Amino acid sequence: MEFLQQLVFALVLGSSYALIAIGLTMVYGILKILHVAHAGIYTLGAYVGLLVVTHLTHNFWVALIAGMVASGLAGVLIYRGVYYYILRRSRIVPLIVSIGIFAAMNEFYRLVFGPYQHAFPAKLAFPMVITPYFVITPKQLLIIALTAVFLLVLYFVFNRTKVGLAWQACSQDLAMAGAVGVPVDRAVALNFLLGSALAGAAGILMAFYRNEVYPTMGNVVAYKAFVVVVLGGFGSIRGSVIAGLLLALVETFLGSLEWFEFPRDAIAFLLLIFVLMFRPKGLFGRL
Amino acid sequence: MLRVEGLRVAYGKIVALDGVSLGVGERELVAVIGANGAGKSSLLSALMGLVEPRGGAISFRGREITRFPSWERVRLGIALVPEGGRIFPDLSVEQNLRLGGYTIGRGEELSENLELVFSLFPVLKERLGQRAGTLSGGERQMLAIGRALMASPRLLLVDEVSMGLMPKLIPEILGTLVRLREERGMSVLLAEQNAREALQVVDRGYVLKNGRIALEGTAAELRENAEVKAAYLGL
Repeated sequence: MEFLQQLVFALVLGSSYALIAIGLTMVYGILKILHVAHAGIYTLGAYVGLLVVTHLTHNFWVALIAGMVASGLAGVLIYRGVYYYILRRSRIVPLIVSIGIFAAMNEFYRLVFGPYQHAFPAKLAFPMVITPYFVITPKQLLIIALTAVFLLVLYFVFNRTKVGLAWQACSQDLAMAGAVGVPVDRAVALNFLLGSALAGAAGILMAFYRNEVYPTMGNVVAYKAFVVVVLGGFGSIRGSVIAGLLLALVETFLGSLEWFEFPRDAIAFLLLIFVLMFRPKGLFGRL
Repeated sequence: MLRVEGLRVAYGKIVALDGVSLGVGERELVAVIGANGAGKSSLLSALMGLVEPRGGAISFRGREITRFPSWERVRLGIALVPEGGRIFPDLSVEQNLRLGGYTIGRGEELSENLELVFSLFPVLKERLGQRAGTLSGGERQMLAIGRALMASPRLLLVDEVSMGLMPKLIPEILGTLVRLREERGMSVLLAEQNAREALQVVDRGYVLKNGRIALEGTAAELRENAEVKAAYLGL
Protein backbone atom coordinates (compact mmCIF):
# COMPACT_ATOMS: atom_id res chain seq x y z
CA MET A 1 0.00 0.00 0.00
CA GLU A 2 1.47 3.24 -1.19
CA PHE A 3 -0.22 5.19 1.61
CA LEU A 4 1.42 3.23 4.42
CA GLN A 5 4.82 3.51 2.80
CA GLN A 6 4.41 7.29 2.56
CA LEU A 7 3.38 7.31 6.19
CA VAL A 8 6.71 5.72 7.08
CA PHE A 9 8.57 8.45 5.20
CA ALA A 10 6.48 11.10 6.91
CA LEU A 11 7.17 9.64 10.36
CA VAL A 12 10.91 9.69 9.76
CA LEU A 13 10.87 13.26 8.53
CA GLY A 14 8.49 14.35 11.26
CA SER A 15 10.73 12.79 13.91
CA SER A 16 13.62 14.97 12.84
CA TYR A 17 11.43 18.09 12.80
CA ALA A 18 10.10 17.30 16.24
CA LEU A 19 13.53 16.68 17.77
CA ILE A 20 14.85 20.03 16.54
CA ALA A 21 11.73 22.00 17.30
CA ILE A 22 11.58 20.74 20.89
CA GLY A 23 14.81 22.52 21.80
CA LEU A 24 13.69 25.69 20.07
CA THR A 25 10.34 25.72 21.76
CA MET A 26 11.93 25.02 25.15
CA VAL A 27 14.23 28.01 24.75
CA TYR A 28 11.46 30.21 23.47
CA GLY A 29 9.14 29.14 26.25
CA ILE A 30 11.54 30.18 28.97
CA LEU A 31 13.71 32.97 27.60
CA LYS A 32 11.44 34.24 24.80
CA ILE A 33 14.43 34.16 22.45
CA LEU A 34 14.19 32.99 18.86
CA HIS A 35 17.23 30.77 19.04
CA VAL A 36 18.25 30.60 15.37
CA ALA A 37 21.68 29.21 16.26
CA HIS A 38 19.88 26.03 17.32
CA ALA A 39 20.15 24.87 13.69
CA GLY A 40 23.92 25.32 13.94
CA ILE A 41 23.84 22.97 16.94
CA TYR A 42 22.03 20.44 14.77
CA THR A 43 24.88 20.62 12.25
CA LEU A 44 27.45 20.43 15.03
CA GLY A 45 25.96 17.13 16.18
CA ALA A 46 26.34 15.75 12.66
CA TYR A 47 29.98 16.86 12.37
CA VAL A 48 30.98 15.54 15.76
CA GLY A 49 29.31 12.26 14.83
CA LEU A 50 31.22 12.33 11.55
CA LEU A 51 34.54 12.83 13.37
CA VAL A 52 33.81 9.84 15.54
CA VAL A 53 32.82 7.51 12.70
CA THR A 54 35.73 8.51 10.46
CA HIS A 55 38.49 8.61 13.08
CA LEU A 56 37.43 6.49 16.03
CA THR A 57 34.90 3.83 15.38
CA HIS A 58 32.12 3.01 12.98
CA ASN A 59 29.81 2.29 15.86
CA PHE A 60 26.75 4.46 15.48
CA TRP A 61 25.92 4.59 19.19
CA VAL A 62 29.29 6.01 20.14
CA ALA A 63 28.87 8.69 17.48
CA LEU A 64 25.37 9.47 18.70
CA ILE A 65 26.43 9.90 22.31
CA ALA A 66 29.48 11.98 21.42
CA GLY A 67 27.42 14.22 19.15
CA MET A 68 24.70 14.69 21.73
CA VAL A 69 27.16 15.55 24.47
CA ALA A 70 29.03 18.02 22.26
CA SER A 71 25.81 19.64 21.06
CA GLY A 72 24.42 19.88 24.57
CA LEU A 73 27.57 21.54 25.86
CA ALA A 74 27.69 23.91 22.89
CA GLY A 75 24.11 24.93 23.66
CA VAL A 76 25.00 25.66 27.28
CA LEU A 77 28.00 27.66 26.06
CA ILE A 78 25.81 29.79 23.81
CA TYR A 79 23.48 30.47 26.73
CA ARG A 80 26.09 31.17 29.38
CA GLY A 81 28.56 32.88 27.08
CA VAL A 82 26.18 35.03 25.06
CA TYR A 83 22.44 35.09 25.74
CA TYR A 84 22.93 35.39 29.47
CA TYR A 85 24.35 38.88 29.04
CA ILE A 86 21.68 40.23 26.70
CA LEU A 87 18.53 38.74 28.17
CA ARG A 88 17.28 42.05 29.50
CA ARG A 89 17.72 43.83 26.19
CA SER A 90 14.97 44.26 23.67
CA ARG A 91 14.06 40.95 22.08
CA ILE A 92 15.52 41.99 18.74
CA VAL A 93 19.03 41.98 20.25
CA PRO A 94 19.24 38.27 21.08
CA LEU A 95 17.58 37.50 17.75
CA ILE A 96 20.25 39.32 15.75
CA VAL A 97 23.01 37.87 17.90
CA SER A 98 21.55 34.42 17.36
CA ILE A 99 21.52 34.84 13.58
CA GLY A 100 25.13 36.00 13.83
CA ILE A 101 26.14 32.92 15.79
CA PHE A 102 24.39 30.69 13.29
CA ALA A 103 26.20 32.31 10.33
CA ALA A 104 29.52 32.08 12.17
CA MET A 105 28.96 28.40 12.94
CA ASN A 106 28.20 27.64 9.30
CA GLU A 107 31.39 29.39 8.19
CA PHE A 108 33.36 27.59 10.86
CA TYR A 109 32.16 24.21 9.56
CA ARG A 110 33.02 25.24 6.01
CA LEU A 111 36.55 26.32 6.98
CA VAL A 112 37.31 23.29 9.10
CA PHE A 113 35.61 20.51 7.18
CA GLY A 114 35.48 22.01 3.69
CA PRO A 115 32.49 23.15 1.65
CA TYR A 116 31.69 19.69 0.24
CA GLN A 117 29.53 16.84 1.40
CA HIS A 118 30.94 14.07 3.50
CA ALA A 119 29.47 10.62 3.62
CA PHE A 120 28.51 9.27 7.04
CA PRO A 121 29.95 5.76 7.23
CA ALA A 122 28.44 4.54 10.47
CA LYS A 123 27.46 0.93 11.00
CA LEU A 124 24.47 -0.25 12.88
CA ALA A 125 22.89 -3.65 13.34
CA PHE A 126 19.21 -2.91 13.32
CA PRO A 127 16.34 -4.99 11.98
CA MET A 128 14.49 -4.36 8.77
CA VAL A 129 10.71 -4.53 8.82
CA ILE A 130 9.15 -6.01 5.71
CA THR A 131 5.41 -6.40 5.43
CA PRO A 132 3.27 -6.90 2.33
CA TYR A 133 2.20 -3.26 2.62
CA PHE A 134 5.30 -1.33 3.53
CA VAL A 135 9.00 -1.62 4.29
CA ILE A 136 10.85 0.06 7.12
CA THR A 137 14.58 0.14 6.60
CA PRO A 138 16.90 -0.22 9.60
CA LYS A 139 17.72 3.47 9.50
CA GLN A 140 14.09 4.46 9.40
CA LEU A 141 13.26 2.16 12.25
CA LEU A 142 16.16 3.59 14.23
CA ILE A 143 14.95 7.15 13.77
CA ILE A 144 11.36 6.42 14.66
CA ALA A 145 12.23 4.27 17.67
CA LEU A 146 14.88 6.63 19.00
CA THR A 147 12.58 9.63 18.67
CA ALA A 148 9.90 7.75 20.55
CA VAL A 149 12.38 6.98 23.32
CA PHE A 150 13.51 10.60 23.49
CA LEU A 151 9.92 11.81 23.70
CA LEU A 152 9.17 9.40 26.52
CA VAL A 153 12.26 10.51 28.43
CA LEU A 154 11.30 14.13 27.87
CA TYR A 155 7.78 13.50 29.08
CA PHE A 156 9.13 11.85 32.18
CA VAL A 157 11.61 14.64 32.91
CA PHE A 158 9.01 17.34 32.47
CA ASN A 159 6.27 15.74 34.48
CA ARG A 160 7.99 13.63 37.09
CA THR A 161 11.20 15.41 38.08
CA LYS A 162 12.01 18.48 40.09
CA VAL A 163 13.90 20.14 37.26
CA GLY A 164 10.97 19.52 34.92
CA LEU A 165 8.65 21.25 37.35
CA ALA A 166 11.15 24.10 37.61
CA TRP A 167 11.18 24.45 33.80
CA GLN A 168 7.43 24.64 33.70
CA ALA A 169 7.49 27.34 36.36
CA CYS A 170 10.25 29.22 34.50
CA SER A 171 8.27 29.24 31.28
CA GLN A 172 5.23 30.68 33.06
CA ASP A 173 6.98 33.34 35.15
CA LEU A 174 10.75 33.36 35.11
CA ALA A 175 11.25 35.99 37.82
CA MET A 176 8.72 34.35 40.13
CA ALA A 177 10.37 30.97 39.62
CA GLY A 178 13.55 32.52 40.98
CA ALA A 179 11.61 34.05 43.85
CA VAL A 180 10.33 30.67 45.02
CA GLY A 181 13.87 29.37 45.06
CA VAL A 182 14.49 27.83 41.63
CA PRO A 183 18.13 28.52 40.70
CA VAL A 184 17.10 29.99 37.39
CA ASP A 185 20.56 30.17 35.79
CA ARG A 186 21.14 26.50 36.35
CA ALA A 187 17.63 25.51 35.31
CA VAL A 188 17.98 27.40 32.03
CA ALA A 189 21.43 25.95 31.41
CA LEU A 190 20.02 22.44 31.87
CA ASN A 191 17.21 23.34 29.54
CA PHE A 192 19.75 24.30 26.86
CA LEU A 193 21.71 21.14 27.56
CA LEU A 194 18.74 18.88 26.94
CA GLY A 195 17.25 20.80 24.01
CA SER A 196 20.60 21.10 22.27
CA ALA A 197 21.45 17.45 22.82
CA LEU A 198 18.18 16.53 21.08
CA ALA A 199 19.02 18.82 18.16
CA GLY A 200 22.44 17.19 17.94
CA ALA A 201 20.78 13.79 17.90
CA ALA A 202 18.54 14.95 15.07
CA GLY A 203 21.61 16.13 13.16
CA ILE A 204 23.33 12.77 13.47
CA LEU A 205 20.20 10.82 12.66
CA MET A 206 19.64 12.84 9.50
CA ALA A 207 23.32 12.65 8.53
CA PHE A 208 23.17 8.89 8.91
CA TYR A 209 19.84 8.57 7.13
CA ARG A 210 20.80 10.64 4.09
CA ASN A 211 24.46 9.66 4.31
CA GLU A 212 25.63 13.24 3.99
CA VAL A 213 27.06 15.98 6.17
CA TYR A 214 27.72 19.49 4.85
CA PRO A 215 28.18 22.95 6.36
CA THR A 216 24.79 24.42 5.47
CA MET A 217 22.71 21.32 6.26
CA GLY A 218 21.04 23.32 9.03
CA ASN A 219 19.70 26.09 6.81
CA VAL A 220 16.50 24.53 5.56
CA VAL A 221 16.08 22.91 8.95
CA ALA A 222 16.34 26.31 10.66
CA TYR A 223 13.35 27.82 8.99
CA LYS A 224 11.30 24.67 9.02
CA ALA A 225 11.85 24.28 12.75
CA PHE A 226 10.55 27.81 13.19
CA VAL A 227 7.48 27.00 11.19
CA VAL A 228 6.97 23.98 13.43
CA VAL A 229 7.41 26.02 16.61
CA VAL A 230 4.98 28.67 15.42
CA LEU A 231 2.43 26.12 14.30
CA GLY A 232 2.82 24.29 17.59
CA GLY A 233 2.07 27.49 19.48
CA PHE A 234 5.34 28.96 20.78
CA GLY A 235 6.57 27.18 23.85
CA SER A 236 4.33 24.13 23.72
CA ILE A 237 6.38 20.94 23.45
CA ARG A 238 3.42 18.74 22.69
CA GLY A 239 2.35 21.27 20.07
CA SER A 240 5.78 21.18 18.44
CA VAL A 241 5.81 17.41 18.23
CA ILE A 242 2.37 17.28 16.67
CA ALA A 243 3.12 20.19 14.33
CA GLY A 244 6.38 18.55 13.27
CA LEU A 245 4.58 15.35 12.35
CA LEU A 246 1.83 17.30 10.63
CA LEU A 247 4.26 19.30 8.52
CA ALA A 248 6.08 16.11 7.55
CA LEU A 249 2.79 14.45 6.60
CA VAL A 250 1.71 17.36 4.42
CA GLU A 251 5.12 17.60 2.77
CA THR A 252 5.36 13.91 2.12
CA PHE A 253 1.87 13.46 0.72
CA LEU A 254 1.78 16.62 -1.36
CA GLY A 255 5.30 15.88 -2.57
CA SER A 256 4.29 12.41 -3.68
CA LEU A 257 1.54 13.70 -5.96
CA GLU A 258 2.69 13.68 -9.56
CA TRP A 259 0.93 16.86 -10.56
CA PHE A 260 2.18 18.80 -7.56
CA GLU A 261 5.09 20.84 -8.87
CA PHE A 262 5.39 23.32 -6.05
CA PRO A 263 8.83 23.22 -4.36
CA ARG A 264 8.59 20.84 -1.47
CA ASP A 265 10.56 22.94 0.97
CA ALA A 266 8.16 25.85 0.48
CA ILE A 267 5.15 23.85 1.64
CA ALA A 268 6.02 24.68 5.24
CA PHE A 269 5.35 28.33 4.58
CA LEU A 270 2.12 27.70 2.75
CA LEU A 271 0.98 25.70 5.74
CA LEU A 272 2.17 28.43 8.09
CA ILE A 273 0.25 31.14 6.26
CA PHE A 274 -2.82 28.99 6.02
CA VAL A 275 -2.87 28.06 9.71
CA LEU A 276 -2.05 31.55 10.96
CA MET A 277 -4.92 32.98 8.93
CA PHE A 278 -7.31 31.00 11.08
CA ARG A 279 -5.36 30.46 14.29
CA PRO A 280 -2.94 33.32 14.93
CA LYS A 281 -1.64 31.65 18.09
CA GLY A 282 -0.67 28.48 16.28
CA LEU A 283 -2.47 25.18 16.45
CA PHE A 284 -1.94 24.63 20.14
CA GLY A 285 -1.06 28.10 21.34
CA ARG A 286 -2.34 29.64 24.51
CA LEU A 287 -0.22 32.80 24.63
CA MET B 1 16.94 40.70 61.28
CA LEU B 2 16.39 42.75 58.14
CA ARG B 3 18.17 46.07 57.67
CA VAL B 4 17.81 48.32 54.67
CA GLU B 5 20.04 51.37 54.28
CA GLY B 6 19.55 54.11 51.73
CA LEU B 7 17.97 51.84 49.15
CA ARG B 8 17.57 53.37 45.72
CA VAL B 9 15.64 51.79 42.86
CA ALA B 10 14.99 53.36 39.48
CA TYR B 11 13.47 52.20 36.22
CA GLY B 12 15.26 54.19 33.54
CA LYS B 13 14.88 57.77 34.67
CA ILE B 14 11.91 57.14 36.92
CA VAL B 15 13.00 56.94 40.52
CA ALA B 16 10.90 54.49 42.51
CA LEU B 17 12.83 54.41 45.78
CA ASP B 18 14.95 57.34 46.80
CA GLY B 19 17.05 56.35 49.75
CA VAL B 20 14.81 54.15 51.88
CA SER B 21 16.07 52.90 55.23
CA LEU B 22 14.09 50.59 57.46
CA GLY B 23 14.35 47.54 59.61
CA VAL B 24 12.37 44.49 60.70
CA GLY B 25 13.22 42.71 63.94
CA GLU B 26 12.79 39.08 65.01
CA ARG B 27 9.13 38.10 65.33
CA GLU B 28 8.08 41.54 64.33
CA LEU B 29 5.13 42.53 62.14
CA VAL B 30 5.89 45.68 60.20
CA ALA B 31 3.74 47.51 57.69
CA VAL B 32 4.79 49.78 54.88
CA ILE B 33 1.81 51.86 53.94
CA GLY B 34 1.50 54.24 51.07
CA ALA B 35 -0.58 55.19 48.09
CA ASN B 36 -0.46 53.48 44.74
CA GLY B 37 2.92 54.21 43.14
CA ALA B 38 4.60 55.24 46.38
CA GLY B 39 7.20 52.52 45.87
CA LYS B 40 5.90 49.68 48.05
CA SER B 41 6.17 47.00 45.38
CA SER B 42 9.57 48.26 44.29
CA LEU B 43 10.74 47.95 47.87
CA LEU B 44 9.58 44.36 48.23
CA SER B 45 10.90 43.46 44.77
CA ALA B 46 14.30 44.83 45.65
CA LEU B 47 14.27 42.94 48.95
CA MET B 48 13.46 39.73 47.09
CA GLY B 49 16.08 40.40 44.41
CA LEU B 50 13.65 40.87 41.55
CA VAL B 51 14.95 44.33 40.74
CA GLU B 52 18.53 45.43 41.11
CA PRO B 53 18.98 48.47 43.33
CA ARG B 54 20.95 51.47 42.07
CA GLY B 55 22.33 52.08 45.51
CA GLY B 56 22.05 51.32 49.18
CA ALA B 57 22.44 48.08 51.07
CA ILE B 58 20.24 45.23 52.26
CA SER B 59 21.38 42.92 55.02
CA PHE B 60 19.57 39.92 56.40
CA ARG B 61 20.53 38.17 59.62
CA GLY B 62 23.89 39.86 59.58
CA ARG B 63 24.67 39.11 55.94
CA GLU B 64 24.88 41.64 53.18
CA ILE B 65 22.59 40.33 50.44
CA THR B 66 22.16 43.40 48.22
CA ARG B 67 23.38 41.61 45.05
CA PHE B 68 22.25 38.08 45.84
CA PRO B 69 20.01 36.39 43.26
CA SER B 70 16.50 35.81 44.52
CA TRP B 71 16.83 32.02 44.92
CA GLU B 72 19.72 32.47 47.34
CA ARG B 73 17.60 34.82 49.39
CA VAL B 74 14.96 32.11 49.56
CA ARG B 75 17.59 29.74 50.93
CA LEU B 76 18.50 32.27 53.59
CA GLY B 77 14.88 32.51 54.70
CA ILE B 78 13.10 35.26 52.78
CA ALA B 79 9.88 34.51 50.93
CA LEU B 80 7.60 36.75 48.94
CA VAL B 81 3.84 36.84 48.53
CA PRO B 82 3.71 39.08 45.47
CA GLU B 83 1.01 41.50 44.50
CA GLY B 84 -1.84 39.61 42.89
CA GLY B 85 -0.34 36.32 44.04
CA ARG B 86 1.59 35.57 40.85
CA ILE B 87 0.88 31.90 41.21
CA PHE B 88 1.82 29.67 38.28
CA PRO B 89 -1.56 29.51 36.57
CA ASP B 90 -1.00 26.48 34.33
CA LEU B 91 0.32 24.32 37.14
CA SER B 92 -1.81 22.55 39.70
CA VAL B 93 -2.23 23.79 43.24
CA GLU B 94 -0.04 20.93 44.39
CA GLN B 95 2.71 21.79 41.90
CA ASN B 96 2.63 25.41 43.01
CA LEU B 97 3.12 24.33 46.59
CA ARG B 98 5.89 21.92 45.66
CA LEU B 99 7.68 24.74 43.87
CA GLY B 100 7.35 26.83 47.00
CA GLY B 101 9.34 24.15 48.81
CA TYR B 102 11.94 23.92 46.05
CA THR B 103 14.81 24.83 48.35
CA ILE B 104 13.76 22.39 51.06
CA GLY B 105 15.69 19.16 50.79
CA ARG B 106 14.22 17.22 53.70
CA GLY B 107 11.03 15.32 52.96
CA GLU B 108 9.79 15.63 56.55
CA GLU B 109 10.14 19.38 56.51
CA LEU B 110 8.17 19.50 53.28
CA SER B 111 5.30 17.49 54.70
CA GLU B 112 5.32 19.54 57.89
CA ASN B 113 5.08 22.73 55.86
CA LEU B 114 2.33 21.23 53.75
CA GLU B 115 0.40 20.36 56.92
CA LEU B 116 0.83 23.93 58.13
CA VAL B 117 -0.51 25.30 54.85
CA PHE B 118 -3.50 22.96 54.96
CA SER B 119 -4.25 23.87 58.56
CA LEU B 120 -4.25 27.56 57.64
CA PHE B 121 -6.11 27.17 54.34
CA PRO B 122 -8.10 23.94 54.32
CA VAL B 123 -9.64 24.87 50.97
CA LEU B 124 -6.27 24.33 49.26
CA LYS B 125 -6.34 20.70 50.26
CA GLU B 126 -9.60 20.22 48.41
CA ARG B 127 -8.20 21.94 45.34
CA LEU B 128 -4.83 20.13 45.18
CA GLY B 129 -5.23 18.71 41.70
CA GLN B 130 -6.93 21.74 40.26
CA ARG B 131 -5.19 24.10 37.84
CA ALA B 132 -4.19 27.14 39.89
CA GLY B 133 -5.44 29.51 37.20
CA THR B 134 -8.99 28.38 37.90
CA LEU B 135 -8.94 29.42 41.57
CA SER B 136 -10.92 32.38 42.86
CA GLY B 137 -9.12 35.58 43.84
CA GLY B 138 -9.13 34.74 47.54
CA GLU B 139 -7.94 31.20 46.93
CA ARG B 140 -5.11 32.51 44.78
CA GLN B 141 -3.92 34.72 47.60
CA MET B 142 -4.10 31.77 49.96
CA LEU B 143 -2.10 29.69 47.51
CA ALA B 144 0.47 32.47 47.16
CA ILE B 145 0.86 32.64 50.94
CA GLY B 146 0.96 28.87 51.16
CA ARG B 147 3.59 28.68 48.44
CA ALA B 148 5.75 31.19 50.32
CA LEU B 149 5.33 29.26 53.59
CA MET B 150 6.53 26.06 51.95
CA ALA B 151 10.06 27.50 51.94
CA SER B 152 10.14 27.70 55.77
CA PRO B 153 10.81 31.44 55.69
CA ARG B 154 11.95 33.51 58.63
CA LEU B 155 10.84 36.69 56.97
CA LEU B 156 7.69 36.88 54.90
CA LEU B 157 7.32 39.77 52.48
CA VAL B 158 3.66 40.34 51.73
CA ASP B 159 2.66 42.70 48.94
CA GLU B 160 -0.89 44.13 48.89
CA VAL B 161 -2.51 41.00 50.14
CA SER B 162 -5.82 42.77 50.64
CA MET B 163 -6.06 43.97 47.06
CA GLY B 164 -8.89 42.39 45.15
CA LEU B 165 -10.04 40.38 48.15
CA MET B 166 -13.58 40.34 49.41
CA PRO B 167 -13.62 42.72 52.41
CA LYS B 168 -14.60 40.00 54.84
CA LEU B 169 -11.55 37.94 53.86
CA ILE B 170 -9.07 40.69 54.68
CA PRO B 171 -9.07 40.36 58.49
CA GLU B 172 -8.93 36.60 58.07
CA ILE B 173 -5.78 36.73 55.94
CA LEU B 174 -4.13 39.33 58.15
CA GLY B 175 -5.06 37.23 61.17
CA THR B 176 -3.21 34.35 59.55
CA LEU B 177 -0.06 36.43 59.41
CA VAL B 178 -0.39 37.20 63.11
CA ARG B 179 -0.80 33.50 63.82
CA LEU B 180 2.34 32.70 61.85
CA ARG B 181 4.28 35.08 63.99
CA GLU B 182 2.88 33.60 67.20
CA GLU B 183 3.22 29.96 66.22
CA ARG B 184 6.25 29.97 63.97
CA GLY B 185 8.16 33.01 65.09
CA MET B 186 8.16 34.50 61.62
CA SER B 187 8.71 38.15 60.90
CA VAL B 188 6.43 39.82 58.40
CA LEU B 189 6.89 42.90 56.27
CA LEU B 190 3.54 43.92 54.91
CA ALA B 191 3.09 46.43 52.10
CA GLU B 192 -0.46 47.73 52.22
CA GLN B 193 -2.57 50.39 50.67
CA ASN B 194 -5.28 49.39 53.07
CA ALA B 195 -3.79 51.19 56.08
CA ARG B 196 -6.82 50.81 58.30
CA GLU B 197 -6.68 47.04 58.36
CA ALA B 198 -2.90 46.82 58.36
CA LEU B 199 -2.41 49.13 61.32
CA GLN B 200 -4.77 46.96 63.35
CA VAL B 201 -2.41 43.98 63.30
CA VAL B 202 1.18 45.21 62.96
CA ASP B 203 3.63 46.35 65.64
CA ARG B 204 5.26 49.15 63.71
CA GLY B 205 4.82 50.92 60.44
CA TYR B 206 6.45 53.12 57.86
CA VAL B 207 4.68 55.54 55.56
CA LEU B 208 6.17 55.57 52.08
CA LYS B 209 5.60 58.63 49.95
CA ASN B 210 7.15 59.27 46.54
CA GLY B 211 9.87 56.74 47.19
CA ARG B 212 10.89 58.07 50.59
CA ILE B 213 9.98 57.21 54.16
CA ALA B 214 7.75 60.11 55.20
CA LEU B 215 6.89 58.84 58.65
CA GLU B 216 7.54 55.94 60.95
CA GLY B 217 6.30 54.83 64.33
CA THR B 218 4.42 52.20 66.26
CA ALA B 219 1.06 51.14 64.91
CA ALA B 220 -0.69 53.10 67.67
CA GLU B 221 1.28 56.25 66.89
CA LEU B 222 0.52 56.00 63.21
CA ARG B 223 -3.17 55.37 63.84
CA GLU B 224 -3.32 58.59 65.85
CA ASN B 225 -1.18 60.66 63.48
CA ALA B 226 -3.20 63.45 61.89
CA GLU B 227 -1.54 63.13 58.49
CA VAL B 228 -2.02 59.38 58.36
CA LYS B 229 -5.62 59.76 59.42
CA ALA B 230 -6.30 62.25 56.67
CA ALA B 231 -4.33 60.62 53.87
CA TYR B 232 -4.66 56.88 54.52
CA LEU B 233 -7.43 56.24 56.96
CA GLY B 234 -9.94 58.58 55.36
CA LEU B 235 -10.88 60.15 58.68
